[in-house]
Amino acid sequence: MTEIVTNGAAATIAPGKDIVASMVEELKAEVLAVLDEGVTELTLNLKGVVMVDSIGLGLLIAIHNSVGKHGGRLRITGASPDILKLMQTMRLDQHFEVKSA
Amino acid sequence: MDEILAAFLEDTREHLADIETDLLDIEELGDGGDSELVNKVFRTAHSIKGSAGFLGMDTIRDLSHKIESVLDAIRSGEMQPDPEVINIVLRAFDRLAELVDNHAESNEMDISEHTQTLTALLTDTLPEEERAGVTTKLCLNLPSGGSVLNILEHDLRKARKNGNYIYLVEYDLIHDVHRKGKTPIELMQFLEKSGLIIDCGMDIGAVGDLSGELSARIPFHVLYASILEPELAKAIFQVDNRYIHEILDEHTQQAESTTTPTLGACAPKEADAMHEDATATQAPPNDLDDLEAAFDAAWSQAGAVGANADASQAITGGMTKQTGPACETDTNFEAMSGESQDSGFVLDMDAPLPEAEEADALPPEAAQAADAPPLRTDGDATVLTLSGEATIARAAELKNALLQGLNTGSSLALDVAGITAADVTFLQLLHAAAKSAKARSIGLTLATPLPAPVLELIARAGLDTNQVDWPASA
Repeated sequence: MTEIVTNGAAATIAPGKDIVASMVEELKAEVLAVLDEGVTELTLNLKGVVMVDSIGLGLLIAIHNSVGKHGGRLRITGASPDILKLMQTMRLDQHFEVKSA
Repeated sequence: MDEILAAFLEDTREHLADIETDLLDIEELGDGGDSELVNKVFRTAHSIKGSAGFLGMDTIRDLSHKIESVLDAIRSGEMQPDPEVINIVLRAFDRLAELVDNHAESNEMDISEHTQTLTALLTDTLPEEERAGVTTKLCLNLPSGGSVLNILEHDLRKARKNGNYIYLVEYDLIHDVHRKGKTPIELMQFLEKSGLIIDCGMDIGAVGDLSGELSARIPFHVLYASILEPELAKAIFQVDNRYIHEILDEHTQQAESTTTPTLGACAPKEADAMHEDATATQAPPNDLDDLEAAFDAAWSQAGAVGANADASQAITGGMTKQTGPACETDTNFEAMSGESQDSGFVLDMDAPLPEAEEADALPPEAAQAADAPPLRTDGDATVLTLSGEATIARAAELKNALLQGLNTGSSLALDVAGITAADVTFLQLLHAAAKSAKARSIGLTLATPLPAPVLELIARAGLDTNQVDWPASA
């Protein structure tokens, strides 16, 4: 169950499940809805996310690109050790902030 | 998370408490002193680097990384632990302790004084002509023009020196990973286990944004160092050959092409830049003939470069000493046995192998096995028994065992039934041994069927052993 907390221009979305092909359309719609409300500081909290597949990774990048277009910023928090390491070895942490906490 | 942080702080303070004594002992013992002590200090820096990266403490990570590089140079004998060096390392560790004590603000704290002195130490260990490379960045311009990888010339040279081939592999995470039922984590784990990722980058502009359909392409470029030669690399990387480019030495002149990656100086060229002519391009090989030709060119170039190679990079002792200083990184079996040929295609077996990141992680049984390659004579043939873990940590040892077996001059049979684990370096060794045996007209056979771990590896790597030189089945 996705948790969404909006606070002015900032919002935190926690999908609470693996970011994989079968769910990306759903998460994409939720993110778009939040961005439509004028949110620019978007945080994706990955607590409870064990796996991110290629399609999910593509969605994260697309979110980053969309947020950036609106002059905003994407941050990823709550990444598991595996996912954090993946983001770091793929150098994605050079594009957006990725943290485990 | 709080527990992870608390454990990190406790561990780090505990480790740092012994550092001063350890470093002063290292200084006192001097060169050739207690290598276990150097290892211990190295591991402290290494583990702080890893944990800090995980916790997002980038400044702590960067400083411990620099310290680690200097300790690595001491460990490998490239740098002497004299009082000046030890003093610089000690002061850097002191600063590291301050950063740890103020971890919440550490990312805003200044470490430039320490990183500069540590970098200067590393630069001093290099031959003069290589010093500029520590700070010179090379740019790899990708054929798509979509993204560019920046690498330090020094990193590239270091990766190449260890006997590696350098490849640029263009993956599409959708086509090459997702559609093959794999995940990005599996891809990265495979790459990390089979060689060294020098740099990589995602072409995030090509992915698009949330307006419209999600992208059907995610270009991901990996600059990779591997002991796998091109013929095997094609099978291992599991992407179409068009997307694998061998990156030759930057001094190699090749016809420029718009379809291959080019390596060169970044941005404004300086008057004295030695890389003005840098155009390390190579047409991706389409068939074996092209491949061999490209390879021969690479070899002769590498041989010229190898003549200047730092002798300390060569594997010392035993068989490789016989190769002489001329081509330490690039000699082949034929050169060793005094039957040097022009072709130079059997390159791999004598190239120094990449050191495992944690050399001390070698299991004790591996160290024992290194003492005596289990060779025995069985009629006209020699039987070589290889057992245990055939992974990158033991690649140098297994290579030497295969060399000794081939050097007996009689037919060689490999008993591999006792192999319990294997990675792609083992496939490379079997392939290279088969080629060398062929070049020497010696029979090389498998005395036993390949055990399950090796068969699984071959299947996973998508290697068709009928298509490459390979030991014959018994």
